[in-house]
Amino acid sequence: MQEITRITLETDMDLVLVHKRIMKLGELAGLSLASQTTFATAVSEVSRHVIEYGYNAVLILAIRSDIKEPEQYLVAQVLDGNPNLTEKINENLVYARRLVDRFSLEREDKGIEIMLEYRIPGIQKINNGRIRQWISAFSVELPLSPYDEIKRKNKQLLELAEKLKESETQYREVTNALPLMIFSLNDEGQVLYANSWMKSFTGYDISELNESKWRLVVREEIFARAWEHWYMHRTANKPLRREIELKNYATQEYIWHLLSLAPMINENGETLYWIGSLVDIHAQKVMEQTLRDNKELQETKLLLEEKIRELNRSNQELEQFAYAASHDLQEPLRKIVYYSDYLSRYYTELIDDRGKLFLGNMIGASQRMTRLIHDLLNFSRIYRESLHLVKTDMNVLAAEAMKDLDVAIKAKCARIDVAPLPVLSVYPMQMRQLFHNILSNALKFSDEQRLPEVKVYAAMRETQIQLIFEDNGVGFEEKYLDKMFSLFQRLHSREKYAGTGIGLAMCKKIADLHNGSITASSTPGRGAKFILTLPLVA
Amino acid sequence: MESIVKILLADDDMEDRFIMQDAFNAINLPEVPLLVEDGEKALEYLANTHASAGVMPSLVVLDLNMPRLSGTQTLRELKSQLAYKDIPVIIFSSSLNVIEMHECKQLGALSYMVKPFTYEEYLSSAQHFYDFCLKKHSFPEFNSLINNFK
Repeated sequence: MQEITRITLETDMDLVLVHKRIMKLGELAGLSLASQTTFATAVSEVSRHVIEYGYNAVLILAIRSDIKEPEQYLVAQVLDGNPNLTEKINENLVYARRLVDRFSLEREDKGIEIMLEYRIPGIQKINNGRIRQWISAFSVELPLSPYDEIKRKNKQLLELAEKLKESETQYREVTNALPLMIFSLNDEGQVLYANSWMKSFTGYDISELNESKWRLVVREEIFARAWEHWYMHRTANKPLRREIELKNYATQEYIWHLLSLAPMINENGETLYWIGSLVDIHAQKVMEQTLRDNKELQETKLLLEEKIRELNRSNQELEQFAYAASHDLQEPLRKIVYYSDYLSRYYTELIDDRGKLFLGNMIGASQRMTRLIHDLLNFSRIYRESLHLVKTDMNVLAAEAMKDLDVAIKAKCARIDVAPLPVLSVYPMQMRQLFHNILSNALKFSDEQRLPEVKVYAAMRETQIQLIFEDNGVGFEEKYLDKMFSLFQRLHSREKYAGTGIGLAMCKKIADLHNGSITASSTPGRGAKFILTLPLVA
Repeated sequence: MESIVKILLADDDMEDRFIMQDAFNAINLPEVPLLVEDGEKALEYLANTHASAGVMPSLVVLDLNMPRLSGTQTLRELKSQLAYKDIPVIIFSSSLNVIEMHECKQLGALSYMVKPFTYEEYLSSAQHFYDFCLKKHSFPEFNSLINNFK
């Protein structure tokens, strides 16, 4: 420790000198104005204390520069002749202790020694040459009048205050310019300070937010829970993080924010207040939600696909069953037909009229059953598998179907007008069956009052094409529309019109097979209109 | 000359065999059909006849749905053996099945017929089989059969 100057502490005037000398020494040592003031204040506090309560006190200003230690310190050593001085320790000393880097108080027989040390910033050490210059500077300095001194000090304080204000303004501007809310809270959760973004975003100032307990900007359904969470948490003295939606004043939309709160704790471990921030994390939340939704969608899709597979499987099983059943039914039926045919051919002379009638009925029944099984087999054979879509001229299909029905057309003197139809990608065999069934129905359900006329034409829709079959037959009541396309559903008695009730069910199945649909409209006695709608495949 | 013509028919249905024999009897050709109850028996008959240098059948008619060796299996077997592969085979089934029809075509069957429903039809079938052996009748080609199928 190298002494630079010393001051006897007797009157208040000496305090001025103490302050001035320390400011000067601090300046020489390269301390900032704030640090000079801090150290000067600390030493002044101790000095005032010893002037008031001590005896024969002296202040020694020195510099501690130890080779072993990397740091250098300004030292203020106060020696006082009153050994009982410690008993008088009051807030002056407590305050001073807080302001400096090192503080010690030692009692000896002759009195008391108080050491205050303040670290000199910078890495360049102050060498002995400079210290000698400082010593000579202090030795020649002239004392100033107390008035001048106070005036100068006031001026320095004003400058300091100005700088502080400037730095605070700058800090406030920086925080206000940030698009996030920075604030402090008291223990009750009331906002004490907030940057301007809080108002910019919520549209309310601090007092409005506090008064409403944030109800104005928080969703009603989480309001109670959020506060409960806070009350539970505030005694824990631990940082808090949670996501919360806040209503934006400009858009009136709730925006996800991340709330972070941290307690400011004093040396006794008590929370003085909380500092916090609210950051907009909406984009992130929306993305999370989208990803989650997407995942759910994927899962639902998989589930659906599984269901479709199951359905297809059971459908296929049903079709295979229908096929196998009708196939196996055919064999015994063939025998019945054969034997009854044989009987009627070679044994009719041996049986009476009643027997002949019954035999005739039996043949009729077995023929109907043959027809039924034949149709059912055809119906169950309509599989999508092993089929290929072929670009087919619908006019050719219509002509083929008409050729198949040639006998019936001629017998009924029917007229079938086919307008130019397009070329479509279809399963040709099945589509021909559909043409056949609908045209055959039109002939079958013709009105005896007039000759049958059927018009076949196409109509384009945006993404669909319709094939329309319009006849002038007996028509049907539209309330039976749904029934008409179901398997084994017949609208007429067998006596009136023969049939198995499979024809239109087959048409519907064929329409489905082409991802299309079939429907019809009619007024009884005024003909019917069957409309096949098919998607246009590019 | 006529007595040399033999037609081998395999059908597990006893009644069908009876009806067929009846039809051949009615057209005065009772010696022509050789009726066996399944594919195994058909192969056995061919093997024995071949071994004893007897008269090989001019035509083989196979039912499809038979126990042990089905019509298609028998067909495959016949077409894989040098001694039999040139004997024409007609499939004689109770129903028309396009998939089976394709399979039989690929295996080398000559034609595919649905079993008749009436006595008259049986008579004409028997006559057609016989006429075919004398090259007086030809059966429809598979392609036209498949095209006619609805």
